[in-house]
Amino acid sequence: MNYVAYLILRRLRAPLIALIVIYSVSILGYVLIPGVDDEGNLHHMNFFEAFYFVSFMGSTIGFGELPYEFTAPQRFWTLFCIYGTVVGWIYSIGAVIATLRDQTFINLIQRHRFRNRVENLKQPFYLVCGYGLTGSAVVADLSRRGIQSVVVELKQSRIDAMELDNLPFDIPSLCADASEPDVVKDAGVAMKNCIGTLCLTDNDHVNLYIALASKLLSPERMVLSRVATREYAGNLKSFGTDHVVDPFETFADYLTNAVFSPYRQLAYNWLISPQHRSLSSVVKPQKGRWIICGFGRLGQAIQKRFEQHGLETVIIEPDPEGRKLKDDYRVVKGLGTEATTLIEAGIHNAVGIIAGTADDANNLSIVLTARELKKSLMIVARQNHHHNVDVFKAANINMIMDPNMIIAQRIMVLIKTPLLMRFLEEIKQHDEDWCEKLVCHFDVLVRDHPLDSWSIRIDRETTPAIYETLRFGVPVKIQNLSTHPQSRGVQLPAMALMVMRAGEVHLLPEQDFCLRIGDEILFCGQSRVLNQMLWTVCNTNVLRYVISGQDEASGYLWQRFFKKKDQSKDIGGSA
Amino acid sequence: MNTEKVIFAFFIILAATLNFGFFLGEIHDVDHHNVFELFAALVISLIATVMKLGDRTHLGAVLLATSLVADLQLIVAALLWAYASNISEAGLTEELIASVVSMSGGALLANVISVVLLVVETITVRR
Repeated sequence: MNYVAYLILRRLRAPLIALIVIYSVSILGYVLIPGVDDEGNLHHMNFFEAFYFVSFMGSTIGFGELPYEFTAPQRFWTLFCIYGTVVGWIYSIGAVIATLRDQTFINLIQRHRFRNRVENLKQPFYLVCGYGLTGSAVVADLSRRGIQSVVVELKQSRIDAMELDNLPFDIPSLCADASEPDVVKDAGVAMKNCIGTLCLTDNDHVNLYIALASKLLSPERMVLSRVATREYAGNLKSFGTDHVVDPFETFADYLTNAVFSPYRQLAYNWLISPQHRSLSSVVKPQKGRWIICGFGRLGQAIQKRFEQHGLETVIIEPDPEGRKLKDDYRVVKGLGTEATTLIEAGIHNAVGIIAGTADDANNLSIVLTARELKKSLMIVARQNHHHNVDVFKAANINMIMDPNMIIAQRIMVLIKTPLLMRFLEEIKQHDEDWCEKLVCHFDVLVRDHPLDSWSIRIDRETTPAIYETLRFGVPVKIQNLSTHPQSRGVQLPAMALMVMRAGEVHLLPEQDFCLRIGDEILFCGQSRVLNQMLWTVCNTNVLRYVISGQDEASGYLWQRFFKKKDQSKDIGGSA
Repeated sequence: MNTEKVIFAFFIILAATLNFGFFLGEIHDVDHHNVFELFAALVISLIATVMKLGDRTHLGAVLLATSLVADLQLIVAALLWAYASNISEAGLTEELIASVVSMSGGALLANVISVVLLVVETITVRR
């Protein structure tokens, strides 16, 4: 139902009735009051004349007195009517304008427009709830990849900021509380082309509501939620939320991997983040004593992992009793911002320090004090607020933990291609040497360019050329795909990471790996390669050239002509 | 008690009674039909229509429809009257007054339907 129209009509009742009453009383007055015609005879206006006169008097005073010059009683009545109709119009117009400017009314219109726009979306889209730093990073990245999104955000100021973000798409956005199921429904969660719901608000409870509503309204839809506390993480997983991203746990994993298997971590880093670090920057294993400043969510997550790996840790915490630390931990009471505390924690024998408090100023202070005391320390710092990004960059820290970027990157991996997530799982099975070789490959491929990854599926819709060629029994190899579509001798800067065939994984396939229909191939390389590769997989002529090296005729006449020539050649050859 | 509904009932019944008063009499006798009554019936019917604007219930929408029908009929009747008394050279002929009255008769039927609907709605209210 159209709520807006009903609301307008309802609000218009009083002004319309006022106008009707004023007009009818005025008309009645003119009909009743006697006048004289131009010959001095008694003349009563009829309703037609009265209605005509009142109509033009109300809007434009000054047409003159019709049909005859008025008598004094008629003029007296006209005075009343002039003020009556003018007041009536002012009131009515005022009421209409007040309705149009009313906030509830504007909200209703915006809501209505938003619903219409979402309903008219034809292409697949993601529903993004929360347009904070994470949300805006994800939406920008999605748009860059040509994926539409729909945004629901509680604060109007962030919605306004979106207009300035200069996104390539027109993104439907609504300022509303996404924890109301109505809002999520209007945002298209039950629509067929909604690929997934991303709950990115900074309130766990709201995220829980959105995830619940999304799962209830359409159970098979992918739901991803960020989460800050363990209780909510368990709660979200309990009803089948597909991906729960906890920035603290994720970063703790990341750091642990960086310490114990740096090359695997580097491979991981290159694949998920476009701004990867160079090969030379690989973090050398730093096994020894680590100082953890702040035993909050991050400190606990890291401590748990380091303890499992048997690494020595010292905790600096201003409130050890409140955090319920175990007795066998080595704890120093304090903030870590002063040299005495750090020395007491044994900074001179330590290899690394983690500034993991919830206060950015304290974290920076810890970093600077620690570096004063020991130059060669590996420094990890937690950055709580995004606006401090420049200060943290300037502090020359080995690893910075920015929760918003961690969540955004994680989501992009999931959204890019599901194969990448599988590949990242696979490389956990392999040792450091294997990973080092992989990273060296990457380095040769992309040098300073961002490393992109994409997947190609062999089927009729997405790769018609390969599909046709395979059906004719001509083998297509992986190397054909990574050949330059214009000059066969040139290899494109890309490599196949994995082939998925009927649920089975073939890691790092050889160049002469023969493809079959239904295979899914994960590639990585420079992002411009994807466009060139699409030529080969979609255009049969290009694929033929790449396989055989010949530019075959494609038109009917040319085909006939060349076939005859070829046949005669064949006959000549055999004879 | 819903005040809005009571006021609407007042207007819709008043429109019906006024219209009935105008309609009553010989169909082509001008003396039996008062133009003031037609005017009043039209004004009251318009007000009743406006009072149903923006009603989202089904019955409300039907009431809006019936009173819009009555309005249309009465407006046509008023236009005919205005044409007869001001523009037509023959003036208020018997044929014209007959068509004015029959238009108002149609409006009366719409008014009666409105009243019946209103009565039905009132009876279904338990309190």
